[in-house]
Amino acid sequence: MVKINGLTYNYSPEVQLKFPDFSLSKGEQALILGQSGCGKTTLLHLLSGLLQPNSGNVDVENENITKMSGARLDNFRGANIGIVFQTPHFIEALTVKENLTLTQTLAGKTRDVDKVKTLLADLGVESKLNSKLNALSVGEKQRVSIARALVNSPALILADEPTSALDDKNCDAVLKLVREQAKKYNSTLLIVTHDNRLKDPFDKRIEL
Amino acid sequence: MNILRLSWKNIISKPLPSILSVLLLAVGLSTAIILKLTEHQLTENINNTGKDVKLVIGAKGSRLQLVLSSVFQIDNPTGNINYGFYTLLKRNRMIKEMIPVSMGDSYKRKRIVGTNQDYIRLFSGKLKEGVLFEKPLEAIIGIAVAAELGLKVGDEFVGGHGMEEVLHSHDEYKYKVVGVLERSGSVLDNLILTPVQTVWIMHAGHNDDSEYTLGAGDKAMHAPEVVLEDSLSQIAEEHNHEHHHHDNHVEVNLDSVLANIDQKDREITAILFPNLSGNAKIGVLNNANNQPSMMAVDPAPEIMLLKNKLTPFVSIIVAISWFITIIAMFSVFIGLLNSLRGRKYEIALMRVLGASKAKVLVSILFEGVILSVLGYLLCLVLSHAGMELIGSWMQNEYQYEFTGWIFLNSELTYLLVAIAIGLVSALIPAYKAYNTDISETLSK
Repeated sequence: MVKINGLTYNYSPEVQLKFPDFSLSKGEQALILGQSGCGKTTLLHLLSGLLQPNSGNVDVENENITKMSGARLDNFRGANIGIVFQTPHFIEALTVKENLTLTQTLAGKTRDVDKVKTLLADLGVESKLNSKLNALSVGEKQRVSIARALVNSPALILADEPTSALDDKNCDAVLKLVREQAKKYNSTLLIVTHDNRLKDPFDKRIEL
Repeated sequence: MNILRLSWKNIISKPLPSILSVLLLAVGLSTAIILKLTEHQLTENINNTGKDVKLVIGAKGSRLQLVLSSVFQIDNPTGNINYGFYTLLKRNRMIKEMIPVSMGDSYKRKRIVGTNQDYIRLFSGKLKEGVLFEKPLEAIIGIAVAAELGLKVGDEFVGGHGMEEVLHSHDEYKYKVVGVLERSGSVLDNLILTPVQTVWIMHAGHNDDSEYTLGAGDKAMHAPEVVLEDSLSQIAEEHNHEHHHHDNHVEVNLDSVLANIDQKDREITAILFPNLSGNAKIGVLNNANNQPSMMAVDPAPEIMLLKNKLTPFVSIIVAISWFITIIAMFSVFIGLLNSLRGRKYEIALMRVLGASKAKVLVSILFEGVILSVLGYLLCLVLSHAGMELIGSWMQNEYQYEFTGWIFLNSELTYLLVAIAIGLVSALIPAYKAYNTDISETLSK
């Protein structure tokens, strides 16, 4: 399902990052741990095709995304990979619902408001359907960004420090939700973090 | 949620800069369109009014002024000429048509023109109601006069001396409206027409030089007497004609008033010649120009001269409209650039969510185009409402109805101009968005 081997990325001739090989099967949930500066976000960008590696391969859904480029890569990413960022960002001009339906249409899927409502309800923010993003708290925003990562039922969900901006209570809740939802849609989940609060048992733990 | 809608949402989420851009664009384009509308209607008026007058004879003075005053009813007359000259020319068999015009009086800022029925035919005027004038004091009014002053057939009014401001009113006699003309798109629409004799009757007793000055600062010149037996007989003939309507006591008075008006006081402002060409035209030209106080003017070259004189002013307005439009273009450009600076992360986000570089480019170009199309739509409203407004006060000045409710095909080309402006000003911001480094932006 997700497989990387021999992956390297050079920031500069002096700073070279080399990532350990690993693979995840469908529906598996893994944690990538490492201190800041060890290349966690870089790995995530390589996995989602936002960066091109200097060597090595990234296979997602049996497709080597390092061989893809341009609109095809953008399209593949939109349809197959959902990303939860450390700090949630949205199109500020749009409402919660519009942000989520835009996510559907940008990925080339049909607009499905029912799915959006179901997701928001599962995440406990159904009342924010028609709210502007700036009216939401950080915790609520992170829930909506999980909804956005899941709205196209992607094969792979990448979460970049999804809990670091949250307090303990929200941290637990958000982590629980993202794991539940990933399970519900049978998506492979990969969480990159240095957050020591994430002590739950994961299928895999990869240290960088 | 498609890209076009996204662009729209981005525009309305920042209303103030968007409104500024749209407004500037609208004002710039409106100026250009108002100019076009004015030019179009002015040309139409000049063509409708001026094309059939081949020669004008009037008192010596500015040639252009004579054409403007007696053909277009815009300027003040150059002075007066004696009616005797008119009657003299009447004998000339080569002249098929000639129309006397006599100006100087007005009613509520609408000019009263003493003339004959040929004047109405000259501008293809048709009666809407009533009949043509036959006798002195009868008046036919243009459609705009009827509409604005609320006059209708059977109404009476008191005219006054002077065109801009009435210096004194002729309250001894009342005009009576006998007919209303249909809209002709010519000078007729704004005039009150009456037989030339009416003017003489109105001015009987007020005929010293200063009194008969027709407009501010414009000394009318008295024509020297063109003493001709024929003119006397002509007047006598017209006098007899008046006797046919002898059933009204006012007319009895009018006849005696008219009979008592000295031949030298029977004046007109100008004579218009339709359908005059070749030798007849040369003959009349020479004849008039040999008179010490008269001149004959061919309107066509004078109008051409006037158009040429207006060209620099038109160019200045065109330049101003382009200047505003270019500022509007910068406003759209800076507005988009500013808005994108705050949306860098959103652009990266769109790419993460599956939008291609091209889609991002198009979405920003859309923003420019939406702003410019909005500017164009607002400009249509502004320019036509503005034209209507400007037209309402130009009407008094030019004796012609300017309207905002006409649409020219050339206005559509301004839509293309607007779209081009939107695209050009969005080009650099769109290219910047196109080249956004997603990974770097997201890492910040």
